[in-house]
Amino acid sequence: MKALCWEGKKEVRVRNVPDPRILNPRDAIVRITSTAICGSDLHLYNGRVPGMQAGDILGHEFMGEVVEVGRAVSNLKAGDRVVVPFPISCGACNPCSKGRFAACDNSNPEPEFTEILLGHPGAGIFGYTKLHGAYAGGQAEYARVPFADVGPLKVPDTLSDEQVLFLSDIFPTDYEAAENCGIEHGDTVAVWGCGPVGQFAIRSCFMMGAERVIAIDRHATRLRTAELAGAETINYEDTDDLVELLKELTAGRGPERCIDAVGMEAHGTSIYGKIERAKQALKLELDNATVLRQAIQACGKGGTVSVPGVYVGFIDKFPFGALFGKGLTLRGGQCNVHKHMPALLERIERGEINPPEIITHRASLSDAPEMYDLFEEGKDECLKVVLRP
Amino acid sequence: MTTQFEEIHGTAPIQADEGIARAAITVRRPLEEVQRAWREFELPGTAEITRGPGDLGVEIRAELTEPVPAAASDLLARYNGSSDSARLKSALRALKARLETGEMPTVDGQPSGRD
Repeated sequence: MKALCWEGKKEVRVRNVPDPRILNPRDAIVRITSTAICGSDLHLYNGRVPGMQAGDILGHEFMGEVVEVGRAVSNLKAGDRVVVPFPISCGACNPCSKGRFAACDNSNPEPEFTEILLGHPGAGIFGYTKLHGAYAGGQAEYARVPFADVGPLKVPDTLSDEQVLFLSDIFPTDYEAAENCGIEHGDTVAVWGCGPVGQFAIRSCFMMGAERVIAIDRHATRLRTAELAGAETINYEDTDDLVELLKELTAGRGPERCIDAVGMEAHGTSIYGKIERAKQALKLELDNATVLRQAIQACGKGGTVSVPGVYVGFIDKFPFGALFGKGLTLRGGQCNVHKHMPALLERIERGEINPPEIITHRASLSDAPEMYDLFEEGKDECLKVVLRP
Repeated sequence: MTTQFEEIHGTAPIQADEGIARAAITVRRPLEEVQRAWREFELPGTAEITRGPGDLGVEIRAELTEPVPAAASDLLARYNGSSDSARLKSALRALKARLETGEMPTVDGQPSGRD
């Protein structure tokens, strides 16, 4: 089959590789009909996340048709149309039983590696380094899906691929990020990052009753897309002091809830943002925490900072004094996608949200290398890329 | 091949006290089932197997006092790590996966661009 393989920093290539096969009784094989590039794929593309090996197949946002099931899978059959959640979860361990599917105890074949970095290993993830099990990803024609009796969600033929594909990751991720905020009546939510993650977060915040959402980015087109969802917008390149501006917009209170939908590769116009990027380039630190620091500084007293943006390791100069002094709550983590998929599918069916509106580019899998470059550089107003194998 | 992470942080062995390997794990299965599985494991050491708090399952606290032959069990073939404690922990994880899921997580045999 054809599959997009990581070859090194800023180098991805479509290769002919063997078809996947059933390796365990609870596996299924899915013929992929649509697959997307995620913003967190760009962290891999840019060589920021340890644990990639040349030849690894990328991709964790995919869906398609079941073509084969292992002998222990009885809920799916060949022909079923499914969306596959990006965490791989057994459904039986303590974390899974409590709905924390992204913390599954049993889906990482080499948890020792992740345990060194995190203290405890998390779930396996498709196409996302040895830290998450080194599973082959879904930017390919076929994928092997472990624990297929737990993960894949059957979707009706009345909905197009583009309407349901984002149930695999970004819609649940941002829904959970908004949920983690604990939005209360009258709240203002500030969302850093108007990429696909931020766009769904904005929409999710309004679904959960936010009074106002203030969206922050530097790309004009992304800010316009945020405005379509009802957000007020700030281009952070137009201000010297984002924290003060947010206070001004909220009559001195600061936003009660802050969402960091940017993660480890933050940009930033300040000298400290530049220092962070230099430290990353020199491998003195894994994560650039410019946005996280800003969110903590900006958040109103007693508020919540919710972090769907991906971080990997350690960050310098964490403003823990601000978090403690203001009595903030900090929540983050990989999304427990399985928990949210059925309810969010219903919202799509009811027309409460229109996921395809964030898609800007559609291409074939063979065009993936060009699409990665487009997405990373923000060329051609690229916001979200969907590939067809 | 040294990964970028290993370049920065080095491989980090989990050091055991000399001569003893210890590890503990929680298994979300009935006590009797875990006790039976431990007996079949046949490790030269001791294990304290007790009900955990709440509904979290069964806690195994294992201690090996002798080197373990590699062929002792197929679960031990899963051992991974640079010390006896790390290898014991790895083996316990394999036992837990077998009991909780009925299978071992694996990526051996999956496709890649290295094939």
